[in-house]
Amino acid sequence: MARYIVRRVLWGVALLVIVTAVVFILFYVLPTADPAKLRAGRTANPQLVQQIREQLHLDDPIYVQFWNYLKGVFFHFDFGESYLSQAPVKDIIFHRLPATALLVVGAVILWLAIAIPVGIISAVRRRSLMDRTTMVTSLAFISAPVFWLGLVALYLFASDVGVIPIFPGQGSYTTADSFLAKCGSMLLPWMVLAAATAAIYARYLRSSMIDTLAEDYIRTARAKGLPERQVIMKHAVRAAITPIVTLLGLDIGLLLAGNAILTESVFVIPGVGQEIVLSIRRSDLPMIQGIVLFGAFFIVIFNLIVDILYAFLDPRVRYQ
Amino acid sequence: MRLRWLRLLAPLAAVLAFAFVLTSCGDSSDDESGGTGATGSTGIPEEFQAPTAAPDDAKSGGDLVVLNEGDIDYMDPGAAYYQVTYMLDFAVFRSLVSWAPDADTDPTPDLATGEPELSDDGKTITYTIRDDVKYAPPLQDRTVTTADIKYAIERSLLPGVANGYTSTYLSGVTGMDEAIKAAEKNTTEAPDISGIETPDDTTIVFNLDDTSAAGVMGALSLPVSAPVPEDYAKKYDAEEPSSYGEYAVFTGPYMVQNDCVDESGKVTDENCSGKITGYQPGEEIKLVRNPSWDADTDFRPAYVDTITFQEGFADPTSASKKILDGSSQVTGDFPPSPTVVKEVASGGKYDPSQMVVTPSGGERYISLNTQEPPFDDINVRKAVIANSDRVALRNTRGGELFGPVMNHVIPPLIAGFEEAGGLNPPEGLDFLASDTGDPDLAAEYMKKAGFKSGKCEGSECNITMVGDDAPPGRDTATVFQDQLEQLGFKVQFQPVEHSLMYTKFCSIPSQEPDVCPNVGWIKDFNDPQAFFDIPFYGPAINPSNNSNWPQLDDPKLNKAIEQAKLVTDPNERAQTYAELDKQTMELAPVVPWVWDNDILVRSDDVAQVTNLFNGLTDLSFTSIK
Amino acid sequence: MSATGHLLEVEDLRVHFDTDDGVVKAVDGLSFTVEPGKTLGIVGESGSGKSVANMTILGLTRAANAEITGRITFEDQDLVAADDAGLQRVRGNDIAMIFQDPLTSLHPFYKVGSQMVEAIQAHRDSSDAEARERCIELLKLVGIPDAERRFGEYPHEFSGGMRQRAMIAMALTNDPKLLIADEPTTALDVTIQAQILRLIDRLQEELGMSVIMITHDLGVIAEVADDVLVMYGGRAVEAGSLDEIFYDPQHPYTWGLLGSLTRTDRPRSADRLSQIAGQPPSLIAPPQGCHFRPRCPHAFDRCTETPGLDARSGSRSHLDRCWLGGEQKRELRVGPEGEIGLAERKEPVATPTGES
Repeated sequence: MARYIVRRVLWGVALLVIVTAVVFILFYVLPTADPAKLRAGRTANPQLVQQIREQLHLDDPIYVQFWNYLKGVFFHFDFGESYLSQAPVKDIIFHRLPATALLVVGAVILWLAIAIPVGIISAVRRRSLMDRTTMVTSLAFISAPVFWLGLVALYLFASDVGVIPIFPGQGSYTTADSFLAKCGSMLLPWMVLAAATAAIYARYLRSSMIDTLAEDYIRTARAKGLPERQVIMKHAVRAAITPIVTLLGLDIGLLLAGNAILTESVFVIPGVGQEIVLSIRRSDLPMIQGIVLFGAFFIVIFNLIVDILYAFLDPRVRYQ
Repeated sequence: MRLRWLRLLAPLAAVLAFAFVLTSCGDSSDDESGGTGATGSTGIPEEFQAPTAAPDDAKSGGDLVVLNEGDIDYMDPGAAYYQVTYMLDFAVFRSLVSWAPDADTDPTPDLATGEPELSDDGKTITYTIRDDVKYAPPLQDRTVTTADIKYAIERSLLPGVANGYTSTYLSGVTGMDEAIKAAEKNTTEAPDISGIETPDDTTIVFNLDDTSAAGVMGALSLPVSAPVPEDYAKKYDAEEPSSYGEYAVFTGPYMVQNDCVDESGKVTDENCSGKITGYQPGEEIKLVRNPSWDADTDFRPAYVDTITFQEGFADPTSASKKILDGSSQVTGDFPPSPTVVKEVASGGKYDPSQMVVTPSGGERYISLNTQEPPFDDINVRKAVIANSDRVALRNTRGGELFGPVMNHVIPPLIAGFEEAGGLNPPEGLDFLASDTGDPDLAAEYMKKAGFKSGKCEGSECNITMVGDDAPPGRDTATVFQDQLEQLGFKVQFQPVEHSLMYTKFCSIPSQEPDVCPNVGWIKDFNDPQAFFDIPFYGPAINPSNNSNWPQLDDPKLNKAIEQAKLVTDPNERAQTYAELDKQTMELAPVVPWVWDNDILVRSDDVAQVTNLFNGLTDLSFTSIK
Repeated sequence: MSATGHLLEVEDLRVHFDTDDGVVKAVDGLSFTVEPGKTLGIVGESGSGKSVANMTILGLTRAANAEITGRITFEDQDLVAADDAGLQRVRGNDIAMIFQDPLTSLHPFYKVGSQMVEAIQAHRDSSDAEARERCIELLKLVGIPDAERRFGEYPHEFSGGMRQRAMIAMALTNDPKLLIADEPTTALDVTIQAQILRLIDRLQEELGMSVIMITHDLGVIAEVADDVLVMYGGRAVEAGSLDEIFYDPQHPYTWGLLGSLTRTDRPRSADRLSQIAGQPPSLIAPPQGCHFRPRCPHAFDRCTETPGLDARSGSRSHLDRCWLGGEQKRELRVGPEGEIGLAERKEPVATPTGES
């Protein structure tokens, strides 16, 4: 097991290096606004632009820039400075991570709390009214664009602009001073982010449960005289839930990497997703690089965790 | 000889009187303002006009919140070059001269004790400053001196600060060229500008080699003249780029919270470094009261206790509603969406006074590349302008309140506007006479250009256009594309991201397409010089960062531009620039389509005051009811 | 034991499933009994209804689209009419069932030991330690070496034969009176097969329980059964003692089964390894009358009338469902060399649906 982990970690590091290289190349190959010109302003003379280019090392050969960056990251944990604000990239990312993390954790808990019971009951009571209703509703939530859902939620329930003012609205995260207040500001975002995902997970779990319930060992469990409840919860769910774990790991990794951008945008949550859009618009390469790298790191880590977790969940996997 | 205010007031009064006369005669051939009580000179209905003074019973206290979509550009006052940043800067940085909310032509003395002295030959400007302005913590024991202002200007030449306008407007200052060269050589130490002298702590003298004093005085009204103590800032300026923005010291009634003060502006840490803690880029900026500020030394009243900028509001509709329905909030850098504007304008749920419309001092036009066929032929250009339905183009921004149709270069409230024709095009330019388009006239011009059918024929008609990929810029471009195609052009339109459009296409002459539909210009200060000096001046064409998008290089016009900036008498100046305006429009280099208005909304309980200079809320004069 | 002395009595059991293609009559009028201490071998092809019938004993076929009629009497309780609680009390307790594939029939994520303990604790108040001891004892009983270690292992760590032994051990945890074994050796190879059969046989004797051995292989029947039930098309077609079935088979289908039994004491010749021609009948639209008619070389006009399951051969316990006369049967069942088998059908076999 230990050797397995070590091997995976090394692969993870290699992957991070490759990801960094790809971002570098993309930035130079694809048309992006010249950061030096953006910095210099609209009336700047060419010499000034050139000097800024030198200051930002934009004219160094790409492999030199790449090597300097790698050295900085792996030996000093230094991700450079934002072109625009000159603040260290690392500081900005760490400052924004808690908001994204809070959003993700809350949404995950909420969507699991909804999806798991719904998925199980829908599978057990297949073709019942409840099953059909939840499956149709889930389709609706999956199809609804997140941004639209967010706006609808605001106009319905936000305490400032909503028809039924109950939940804190846009921008309330930044003004919240206590942890509890921050959680309050996250209620609507959690619900919106969880809505579509819960729908997907419920369908997935339902399908997985239906497959599992057809397995022979379920028949054996019943033949042993176990109460139906125990058959479902201990035998069926235990087996059906393992693919969900993989999905969850991937989703968490992606969300922490900035995939919650739409939710963060509509609710004005100063998280990592919002920052990456800003950085792309301003051609702030160190910021983009930093966020992508962090994102890749999260995805790698969560994939690793999921794989290890899988080995705990499914004994057959351990002996490979 | 002192510049006499009266000499300025007289023509100003005359201009305004003229405008009122025009209104009362009901002459509004170009008045699309719709609604009653419009004033001729801005086209803005009365109910939306900006309050430029605080109410007599303005209350002290409270927390004002400004909602922004994006961020300021730089916290460093030497680098800031953005109207929204100035909104912040006017509240936290005092400069040599600044702008009171209702000052529309001449700046207001701020650190200066009064009007500057201009020598007879116009080549020496002398300012005297107050001796009783102290810096905010951590430098609360230090008084502002003119040496600090001199250093502020000198450091702006460093590539690590990269000020966008100093070298342009102060080019006439003695020793400027040498200073610029020195900054290129030694990028970590601010150069000395020999032409700026500080004989004592309260006197600063600008020696010019020419008579470009008006430009110099204008530039000094911008945050570049906010004082920066050299011994404090040196170490930050030695870094590349400069990190002074993280440690800036403040002189205004408010300061951005740093590690020296708490939320109420009380000093909490004696050994603080001055590191700014109240600025989270892209997220929030927190302003608190400056404990060193003395109300007696300032024209600003400073009513509210704290001001918070909240950033990241990507959806203008929901953000505007949040403000309109909520309390103590105003919009910052985004206009409300057209639907919200319509809703407020129609009355009903919201009081129309919750929306304020002000000319922004900016304009938008569509540039035609005069260096390449087919637009190298002036008749073709005139045809395109005559054909354009410019009202339709303006409406892509959201409607009448978003600005009157542009008819010449100088925008409303800038000196020379009325002389140039006011809201109407200059006399005698028939291709600008109709703002909804005159196809017959257009056909005539095409015929003059050699296209017998009155429409474009042949391979010259394949033209390229690069514009914004997001609304409303994209909408403007597509509407214009239709209009061009009516004239027989075949347009290849490439939408790209906004900053990409500028830095990789429209600002590089060798890459520039035939049409750049989403360009324009905004004032630097209330003087018409900026609108010609770069956007229409031949020698200003530069190969990698060009802002003369039509690539206009007419020798006569170039000479006229060079001479105009040397005129110092305000009356003469207005008249000279009005003529320059007509001369520029005669060359039909661009399709002018809107003089932008700034539209903002406020919560019910905010007694908002607009600063006419940038059309945005003046934080030092606004109060909570 | 019921009043009649049978341990289990199945009377006119019908199990019909309502599907999109129609009503599948998996079991269509089945009756048989199981005697205490005896092994009943149920033999038939796949689709004969043998598995469905036996799973119905434990109520494992109950579903929204299943219609189950008839009676299954076990110790004065009708299992068809029993509620869930009643069934649960019986399952794994008085009646235990083991299945064909022990790998898929055991939960892959739980240790074998804990699955066995679960079976115990579902029916009685037993501490974990007590249950564990009992389980290890049973593992030893079924012949698994190193039982203590095996108790803590996962199903995939066992070999095929050992897995089936473990399943058997699990079935025995609550001293069942009846063990239903559904094709327990089909998935195992021949040598292991024999071991398992011997084990079941031995356990039956030692523990005095009854066994229903379900199989498609007469060879298995020959090894372990006391009584035999031959099923075809959802019905019993012949029932009797082992000797009766093997030495005096009455039904043509039985002759076919016996004929295809590979016997090592006879010379092999090409046409002796005969399978029965044709396919099992459709359960949605079975043939009218005798279900075997379309495949039977000896069918005659009376066969369109469903024969009853009656004693025609003389012995009261030997029942069959065939209209042929006793003499005819004795004649027709014997091949040229005197061995029992089913003759070749002269006409082509029609697809056995409700026509003809």
